[in-house]
Amino acid sequence: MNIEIKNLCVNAGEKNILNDFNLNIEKGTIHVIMGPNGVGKSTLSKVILGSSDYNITKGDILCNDESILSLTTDERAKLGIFLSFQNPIDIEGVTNSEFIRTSLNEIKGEVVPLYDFIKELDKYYDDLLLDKSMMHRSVNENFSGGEKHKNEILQMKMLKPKFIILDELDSGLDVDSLRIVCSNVNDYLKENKDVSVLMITHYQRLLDYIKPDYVHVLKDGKIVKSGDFTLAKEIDQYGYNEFETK
Amino acid sequence: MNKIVVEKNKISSNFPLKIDNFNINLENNDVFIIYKDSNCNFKFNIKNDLKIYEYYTNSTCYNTYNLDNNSNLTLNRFCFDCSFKTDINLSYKSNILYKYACISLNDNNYIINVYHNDKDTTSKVVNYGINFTDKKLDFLINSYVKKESINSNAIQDSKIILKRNGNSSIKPNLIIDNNEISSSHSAYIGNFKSSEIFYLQSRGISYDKAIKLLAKSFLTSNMEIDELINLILDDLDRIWGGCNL
Repeated sequence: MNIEIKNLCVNAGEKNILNDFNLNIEKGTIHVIMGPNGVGKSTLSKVILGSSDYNITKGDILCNDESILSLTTDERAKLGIFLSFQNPIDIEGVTNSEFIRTSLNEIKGEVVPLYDFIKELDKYYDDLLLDKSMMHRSVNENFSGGEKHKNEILQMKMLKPKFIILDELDSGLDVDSLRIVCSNVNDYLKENKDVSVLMITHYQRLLDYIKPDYVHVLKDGKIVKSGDFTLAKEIDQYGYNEFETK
Repeated sequence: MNKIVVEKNKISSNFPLKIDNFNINLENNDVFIIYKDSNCNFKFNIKNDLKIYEYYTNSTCYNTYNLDNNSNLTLNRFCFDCSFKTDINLSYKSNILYKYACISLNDNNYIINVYHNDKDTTSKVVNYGINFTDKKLDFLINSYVKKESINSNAIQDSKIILKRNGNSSIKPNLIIDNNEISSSHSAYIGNFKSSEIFYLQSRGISYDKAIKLLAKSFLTSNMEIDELINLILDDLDRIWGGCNL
């Protein structure tokens, strides 16, 4: 899936967050956005999904050359856009299995046979070293930070998206959990070579596990520098201050 | 499970049931009670550990639950579009875990009084409701802790979800005459959280389906038995099928 963001301006109330933001993510490529706290990285991920918390005042978001601005969040998800949330919320009373099955039924447009569903879900619980009893618990309720991120990747594997946004996947994860979730993401990408990825992170360590094709620095609402993996090392060494808005 | 059906004020049960001037003694065996088209005023005398599951439809009741010393009662209740009042009396070292959910279509008020009549008593009272229309749903929750009821615990948690612009109120009252107890209350009136709806939509679930999923989990998550849950789900299906909500 190809995603193009053109001259995007976004605000939340009085505050301008993204300011003439441009990015082109071709199918099969992995992009990373890095930047200081509060510059709009997570905002970008939610705006792509159509969150009503933000207001697009200018610009466009294209998916395979067609604008998605008029589409609702669920319609964008059905196109194959998936966001792994930085802070996945709890939903009391809705079990994980019920949530994923409802989601799968909606995306596929038909009722998924229960046996096939359970079999696949079982396998992915094993892949991610998640306790299977979690299937029957409320979504993310009493999950540790690592378990919540694993649960996001579990959903990704079940829903099989074409464009994946990983919003601070590494936040709150210990080294073993990080290795497991990244290994699962990499396996998915190996099997689905046309899938494109946008990773959002502060730190270089995630990129040791999921190798990006492009690294971008976001500052003052727009990309101020782009490069390859070496740019991430430069950021790690010198910080963000050296990058000025053009 | 033992079952009692009260329909048009006529009582039937699948086990031997003695009723003495509206007094019903219950101990040890869990019971499921269905009230349909009834107006009743029972006094349940509870001994030992017991679970009671109740379903109300088109009924107005004023029931009292008297817990004997050292008794523990779990009371799961669901009410479809009715008003009622309840008194709960706690004796020495007795505890109640009370979980209530309701669907409201018309003006309804719901009153519960919990009396901590002795020391070492605990009440946790959870009340959830969905107001589906522009009518009024009122919760009045009173927990009374007497001076002699030391080492007691009174907790309240109440939520009303508004599907439309209906007026609703929650009045959580803790009337405490003792310094050696712990108590708390919380109250929420509003819509389902937009963050929950967004999360569900981000997985391809439409807005309408997301609301239904949330409503279903809101009303049933506190209920323990399938028979009660299924009655609640039938009521929800009926509402969404028949009304423009």
